[in-house]
Amino acid sequence: MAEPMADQMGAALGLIRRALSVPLSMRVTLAAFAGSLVIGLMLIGLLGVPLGAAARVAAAGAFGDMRAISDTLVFMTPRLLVALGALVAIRGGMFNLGGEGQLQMGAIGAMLPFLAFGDIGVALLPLAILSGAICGGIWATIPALLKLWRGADEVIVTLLMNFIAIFFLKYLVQGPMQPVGSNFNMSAQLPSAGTLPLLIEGTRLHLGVVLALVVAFGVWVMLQHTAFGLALRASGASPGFVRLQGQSAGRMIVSSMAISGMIGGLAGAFEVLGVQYRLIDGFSAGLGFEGLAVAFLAGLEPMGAVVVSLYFGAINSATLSLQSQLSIPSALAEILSGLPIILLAVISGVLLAKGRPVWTSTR
Amino acid sequence: MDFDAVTIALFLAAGVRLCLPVALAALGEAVSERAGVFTIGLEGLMLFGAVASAVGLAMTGSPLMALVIGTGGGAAAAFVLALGTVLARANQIVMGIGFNLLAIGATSLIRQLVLTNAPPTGSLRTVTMMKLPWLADLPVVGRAFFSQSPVFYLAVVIAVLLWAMLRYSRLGLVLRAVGENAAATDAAGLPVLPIRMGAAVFTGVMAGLGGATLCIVASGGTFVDNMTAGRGYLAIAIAIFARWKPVRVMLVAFVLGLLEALQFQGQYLGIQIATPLLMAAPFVVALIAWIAIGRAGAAPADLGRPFLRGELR
Repeated sequence: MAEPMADQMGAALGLIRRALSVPLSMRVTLAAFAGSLVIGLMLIGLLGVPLGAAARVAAAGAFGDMRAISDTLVFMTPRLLVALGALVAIRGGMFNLGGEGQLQMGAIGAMLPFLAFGDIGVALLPLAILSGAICGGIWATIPALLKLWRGADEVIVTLLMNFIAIFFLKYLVQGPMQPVGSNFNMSAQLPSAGTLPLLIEGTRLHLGVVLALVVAFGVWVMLQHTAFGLALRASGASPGFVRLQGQSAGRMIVSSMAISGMIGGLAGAFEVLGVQYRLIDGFSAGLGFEGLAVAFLAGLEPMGAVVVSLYFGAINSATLSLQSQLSIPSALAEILSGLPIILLAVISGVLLAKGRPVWTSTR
Repeated sequence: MDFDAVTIALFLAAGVRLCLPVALAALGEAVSERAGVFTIGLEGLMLFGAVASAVGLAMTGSPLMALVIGTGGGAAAAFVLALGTVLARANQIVMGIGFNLLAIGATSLIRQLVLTNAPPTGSLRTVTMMKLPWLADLPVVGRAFFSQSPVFYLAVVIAVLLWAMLRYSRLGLVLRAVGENAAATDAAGLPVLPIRMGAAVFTGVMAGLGGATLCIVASGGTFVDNMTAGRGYLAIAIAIFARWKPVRVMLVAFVLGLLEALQFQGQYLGIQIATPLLMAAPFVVALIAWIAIGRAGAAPADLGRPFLRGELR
């Protein structure tokens, strides 16, 4: 009688052991997400909403039908792009906290071709995407150049430039870009030829979602399978080593920030071209910082960023449903976005103090 | 163009009023950075202070109590944040980014749950201005600096006390030692983590008071979602630009406050600049100043580094 019991126990132990053989960083991340979902559920419980109903509504809101899934993907896209931009810079040793500003500049850039040339048909969309990427790239190159020229720490420069970009956009939509006679803080609407086409009628799913996934794949290839990616990672892991190799650390700083900003700029451009169809004050509401959180939660891995940003997208579309159907405040989205990154940082810190670092930090 | 004394006095007074929340938070940031703790979560701490003060005002009806409760809210939030960054050795930047996200959501949730049902605060029961005897009668400066809310006088006193504390007291020496070389301080038998916890909570006190001032004194007691709008990040820049010197923090904040004041007083001074550009101006000036310093100023050597006993540097 005892034998099969022992066998089952052994099998169970084996399963547990196999589960624990998942890399430490993955386990820490999973624990962070599980912990924050538990806290989120507790919050919902405290609000007096039955948990079963809340879970059903949340699941239906995030993945229930084609519309829900496309909402989740549309929410995922800017966060994924900002995260990709951030992780390229951070892997290269530059602590780019300027995703929000690069996104704002990308959004502005996406409007420029239309304002300059008017409705010029099919050429407008590629020009707008390119212009958004370039504007984001230029904005992110400034901190890199300031670091080289003056040794100005990029953490502070990128943080400050976020707010300069936010107020600059506000200025544009209240002034130069505001249509004559309008009192709203927004620009004129783009012609349909200049917008990202919808992939499925009746949903918000736009081409930018696919392009963002392509960018994620591209970043992964670049980091893992190109000489440039190797040099980038080396310069982030050990600037001294790169100098010993006779390569210019400065060139890596500038190019990693330029690429980072271009990807961040795409995030803003796609929001304008695929979601808003115009430049609106306050369209971002902290997307840049959420993207940064995604990058850290993904352990600075592009493919990880896809998964984590999908979680962020799902949280956002789920909380929309929770708000409309169960009147649960949508502020829950920010709480559930902030919590996992806090838990991750704390768990990693405790492990660091115990001498088992999860991350090899770039600073 | 001729300005009368009243216009200039009002302009200076507006600069003081507008800089106050940021100046208070920046004083707090200067202290925690001196102790080696980089509080990126300052923005979130200000938000918690602001929402706590709004709740306090709704509950007590007293602006003074609201300020006290807001300060307490900031301190409590800072204690939780410091449990992560100081005790658990979490990466201070990553933790701060997450904390600020959480703070936006949590304070908005508190507003929707607690403040929507609160009775309207009625008349604007803000903190009344306090005219200092004799000084307030001085031309120009009297109206500019000595007819302010009591919080301003408190901030000046705190700045001077902090300056004296950092420069002359044993506590100040210990605080700076923890920021410069935590391992050596530890080897000397001083409690590194409690000192850092204390500094972090003090930052919360100041950021909480700053947020409460923003809500109670500057905004008539109404909490608006994300009402800090980047002031916490600006305060971090001010603390660093002022080289963590309290009196200099006040001066830098005041100059940036004057820039912000242009949006209200600018037309009387004959300056026509779009409001959003003026709102961006403090950030632009802070950035230029930051570039001007470049490598010159040495930060506390252990700034941003979690304390690990026995780690050699």
